[in-house]
Amino acid sequence: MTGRVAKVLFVDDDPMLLDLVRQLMAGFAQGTWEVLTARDSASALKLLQGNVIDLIVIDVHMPVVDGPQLLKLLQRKYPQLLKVVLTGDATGAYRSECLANGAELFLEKPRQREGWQVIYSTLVELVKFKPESGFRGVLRRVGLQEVLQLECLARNSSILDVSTPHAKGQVFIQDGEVIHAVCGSKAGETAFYFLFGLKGGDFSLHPFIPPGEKTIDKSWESLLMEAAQVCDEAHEPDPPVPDPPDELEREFETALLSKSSVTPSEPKVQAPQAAAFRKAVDEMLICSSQGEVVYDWQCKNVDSRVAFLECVSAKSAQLVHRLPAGSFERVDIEQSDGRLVVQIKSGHTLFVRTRLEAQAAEALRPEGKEEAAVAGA
Amino acid sequence: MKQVLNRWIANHARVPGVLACGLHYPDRTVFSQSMNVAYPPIVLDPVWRCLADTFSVFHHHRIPSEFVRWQYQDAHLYAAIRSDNICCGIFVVQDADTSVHATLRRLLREFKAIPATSSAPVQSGLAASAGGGR
Repeated sequence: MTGRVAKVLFVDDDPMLLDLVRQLMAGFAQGTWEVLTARDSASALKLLQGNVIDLIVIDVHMPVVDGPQLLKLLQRKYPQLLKVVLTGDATGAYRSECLANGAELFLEKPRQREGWQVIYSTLVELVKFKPESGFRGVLRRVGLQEVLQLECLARNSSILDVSTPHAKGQVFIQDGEVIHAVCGSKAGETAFYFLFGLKGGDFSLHPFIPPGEKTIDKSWESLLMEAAQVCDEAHEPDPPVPDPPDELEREFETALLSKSSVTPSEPKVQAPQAAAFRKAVDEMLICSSQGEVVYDWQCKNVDSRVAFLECVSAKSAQLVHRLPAGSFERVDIEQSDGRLVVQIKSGHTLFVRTRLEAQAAEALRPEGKEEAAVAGA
Repeated sequence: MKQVLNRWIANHARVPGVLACGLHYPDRTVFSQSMNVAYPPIVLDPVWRCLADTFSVFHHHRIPSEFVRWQYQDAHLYAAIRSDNICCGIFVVQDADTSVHATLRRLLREFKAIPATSSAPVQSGLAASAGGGR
């Protein structure tokens, strides 16, 4: 976020408060923020369409579409957007609803200037915070492919910036046709396929500026088809990960392999073990890096689970912000009658819920591992 | 109650491999104890608030949680929440001894069992068996 002015949008139905916020924040930010305001959700959505907003700060109580509803909309349409709730009605119920719908923070409106300084400092930290390992980009409802399709179908002209910790690139779309792509020293179709194959990361749309050259002539439909094919070829098969011998990981791999129609040279899961494991599993869901459901087993409400995974993905990064804990691997949630695991690995996210009946617990218990204590708890 | 729990966690989380621990109270106040310079209290304070939010999010998604372990490449974060919504978190190095992981689990179980009205420090056999901090 350094080197450019961050755009922060405040949405509140109280015009006096918006004036106050605009003045205070502009004063605190000293030119590092452009403060935009909207009095309702519709105006906010309009501003979001015409601007690249870094952070949106939303009130809870607003007419027609209230804060939590707007959050839900934004979570679907702009999952990468940083969202904060600022309200005078900071009840526990609103708090949990807003956080569950993608709000990074739930803040109470201050009554004094010092309080606003604290709010500003908090928001500055949030705007600065960009997860380096791409957790935020791990789960997205709208993928690169969808964005490209939407832009092309609408015959838009735009520049699509794609960024991961390892690569940055741009795709130029003019009147609904992809005319140029660049990524480091790569250009044209090679760059396009490379960008398309990147896992995680962020992407954003910017106003169109004609590129210095035109390197792509193919139709966007052909490009997307070929990109998907190149991706498939490049991604299979991942090398097996034999250690640690965890049933969940084996199941994860087995499900992925069966989905991608790749037959492993040696069976990874012995049949009786797999059967026992299956008996213990109540529910399983695997999502791709784009947030698409790759595999679903007995999942009653997929949307709700995907939303939960998005929350876990976001929280896992927030929890260790500025701490040297390393990249997120998994979260184990022990319940009175079972266990739940969310694991993010190789760009895929696994959700498994198991029950702890005696037999099932036995099936889950890896010999001599401390996981036994978890399963047996 | 806060003093009791703060003292309890400060005394009992001194287990080999533990990097930091902390508590979050329903009034949004926190207590942080660092055992490693890379985990300073100023960075830890918001962590416990975020940790409490994660329990809130789990609850909203109808995912009850007795104990939670967040696993990262270099550290694990053990967490539990009591029925009075006081929440506890303990960071431990990823490669800690198996007995340490078991100790922390017992510690969290004990944390959940401390009576809400407790005014005296709770006795625990864990500190004696677990040794000093790192």
